[in-house]
Amino acid sequence: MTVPSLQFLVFVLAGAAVFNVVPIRWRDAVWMVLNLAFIWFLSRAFLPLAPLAGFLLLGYLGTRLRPAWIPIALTLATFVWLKRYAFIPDSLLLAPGAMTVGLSYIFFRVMHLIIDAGQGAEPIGVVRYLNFTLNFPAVISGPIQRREDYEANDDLPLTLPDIGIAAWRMLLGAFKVIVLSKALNAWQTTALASLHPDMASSAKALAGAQIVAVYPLFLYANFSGYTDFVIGAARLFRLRLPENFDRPFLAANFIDFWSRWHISLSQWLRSYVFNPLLLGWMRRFRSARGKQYPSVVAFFVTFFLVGAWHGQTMAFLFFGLLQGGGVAGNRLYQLAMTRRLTPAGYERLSANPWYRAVARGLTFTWFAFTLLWFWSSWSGIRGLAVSLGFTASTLAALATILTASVLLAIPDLLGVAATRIQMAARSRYTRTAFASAMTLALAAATLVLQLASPEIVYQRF
Amino acid sequence: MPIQSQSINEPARIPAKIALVRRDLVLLPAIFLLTALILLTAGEVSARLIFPQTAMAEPCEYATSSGLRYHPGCTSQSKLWEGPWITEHFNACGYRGPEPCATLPPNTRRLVVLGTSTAHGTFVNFEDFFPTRTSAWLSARCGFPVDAQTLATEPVDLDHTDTRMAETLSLHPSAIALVIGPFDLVHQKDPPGVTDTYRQPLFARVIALLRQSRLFQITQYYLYRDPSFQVRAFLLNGDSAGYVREPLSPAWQQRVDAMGDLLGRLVARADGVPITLMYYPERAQTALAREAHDPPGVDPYAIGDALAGIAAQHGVHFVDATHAFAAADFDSLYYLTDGHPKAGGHAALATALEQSLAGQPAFANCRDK
Repeated sequence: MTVPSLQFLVFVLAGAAVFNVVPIRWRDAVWMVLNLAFIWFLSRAFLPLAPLAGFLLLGYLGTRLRPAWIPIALTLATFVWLKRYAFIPDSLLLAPGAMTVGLSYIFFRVMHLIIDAGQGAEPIGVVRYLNFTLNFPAVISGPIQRREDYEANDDLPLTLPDIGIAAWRMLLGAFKVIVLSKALNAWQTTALASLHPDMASSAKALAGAQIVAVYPLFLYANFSGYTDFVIGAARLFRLRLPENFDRPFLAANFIDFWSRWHISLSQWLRSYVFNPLLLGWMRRFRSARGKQYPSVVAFFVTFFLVGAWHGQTMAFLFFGLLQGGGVAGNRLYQLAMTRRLTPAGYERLSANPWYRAVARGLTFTWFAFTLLWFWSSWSGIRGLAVSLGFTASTLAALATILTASVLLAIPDLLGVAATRIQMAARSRYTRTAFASAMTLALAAATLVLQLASPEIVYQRF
Repeated sequence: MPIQSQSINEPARIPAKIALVRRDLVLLPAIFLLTALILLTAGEVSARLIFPQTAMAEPCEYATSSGLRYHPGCTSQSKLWEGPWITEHFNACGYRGPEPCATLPPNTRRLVVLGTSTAHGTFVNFEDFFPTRTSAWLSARCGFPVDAQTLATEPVDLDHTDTRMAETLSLHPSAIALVIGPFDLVHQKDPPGVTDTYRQPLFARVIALLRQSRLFQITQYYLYRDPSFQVRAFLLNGDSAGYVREPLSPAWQQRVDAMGDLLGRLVARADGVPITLMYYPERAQTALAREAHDPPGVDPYAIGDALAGIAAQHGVHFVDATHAFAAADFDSLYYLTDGHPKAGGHAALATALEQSLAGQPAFANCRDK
């Protein structure tokens, strides 16, 4: 069962109907049955689920084991083993076929429970544990929710407007994934196929810019579309999932970007990696100036892990280095500029529309560049570099920076009008009109063009 | 510096409680429908501009008490939205084609074609039209010229075909071919005018209007590119698919019997000229015939077998072109939404007819040597 798909929609609607009509005291049980049923649908056999079941059991026992570092180490090692990281010898790996879809997201929830239990959090019951870790709308690719947030946003009222908003999110998500991300994927694939050695440098640069710059847009449509869909689906079960995106391409620097992209992942790492590292290191520095530098290292480690988490190969480790390097470099630049211009002067510079436009363009281009190690391979990147050559590569980078700077400056250029447009777009009347248009587009895409729902890229992680 | 200070925005949260104004219960669905209506209308207008369509032979038609006829010497152009521009020329007798008709040249044998739209060559050029191909094929093999005249008219009036036998015999044919498809069998007994939209119930008229919309046709086109989709839809279509079921449904058996009556009347008026009944399949039937295994209860040759039986009763030759269609390049056979055979379909029709005629006494020496 893929998300979003007609099967998933039917599963959600049927499940939500049952969930909302049974007496309140049965809801946890119904929710658990649905969560387990969904996991079964992903595999349609019991044996491939055995490693996942073992991982969940280990996690549950880990919430009760002391000292906490033992279950933390065991859970981390089991996760790395089940995800078949490239550095593990083949002879130590399980035979292929184990169901690992969603394992990364389950891992974050389990790890959070173990760490918090070690810090004295209230023990969690079996049903609650399963419902939290296997929460089916968010099991495949998140968002990652912390237990306190899950419990604060569970069992909410469900009114007619809530259902309308949930339907809107699901429709928007399906549109982004099935129509928009498909179209962007086709655009990038066409540009990639069009590259050939006899092209002029300008044509190569144009193709290169499209290949690099369209992928982040595709990934955004694909992943944020999935997130929209599951947030809407979860709402029908009286659950509010956290948001994962906040207009990421409007970020004016790379640190800001990671507070707007895959928010639930960066927030989790902020809580369990960045903050403990920073606090631990800051205690060792006495001077105010010295206290500034641990943040650079903490940023690097945190976002190196963000990148490295995405895959099991050397390419993803390098992707992690680029993320960590980008964020750490950004932090160093901020510190240097603050020292040179004073904090107020740097704040004034950051507010300058021209500076902000170029900063957005650079941020977008850097992210697009790092994604080469995300969607391609070392040999693919080498092939692309050889095909483009130095001149076309440089022109492509400049074209991407320039185009992104201009396009991403539009909201600022529109000023008050942009706010008005945003307000109008949020009105329920406008959304209803958009919903109607998106329904037609989805019907055309799925019925007429028979486009299958594409794979959610983050499902692999 | 903690990372929180770097975050510009926390994501916008959905307000905990939103009130729904009562008027929204009407207003929101109305906006939804109105938007869909506006988009569909804009889509329909754009589709009609991008994919134009003009009716077949309309400027050359005129009505008579026994059906439509065409002005002698008239030429018209037509286009199906999914096909090329087609030129139609009518000879001095008002039959499609450039060949003279009034007198039969010496040593020439003539084939007269009767039927409805496919036998008229709807949406195919004259050089692709099956009688043109068949007469050329026979001429090349028989050692004497063979010409073909088609008396078929585009609108449906199959049951009146026997009223044209005097006109047919005046052309001195060596063979007469009556070409029919499933659509003709369904409509053969309808009195004139019964299918006029004004007599249909409102719901049926709305459905007919929607089916004629260009957006519907474009949708159908994309869906039918996958023949299995069309087959699934076809088999779910009740009695419309009754002719590929074994045994034939009572309604389809009645239609076959009615065709038997028509054949009886034709033979009685044919003055000994041999008649060939040629049946051609619709696209879904051809798709079924191409499959190695039929779905349970389905036989794509059931209607052909039944027609062969009644043709034999009346001493009429029978050709089931389903075999030729099943063996041909599938994508070249039909217009997807209109359903008429295109050039490849007419080539299959010609192949089937040639094989049958070459076995008849008038063309006895014309088999492939």
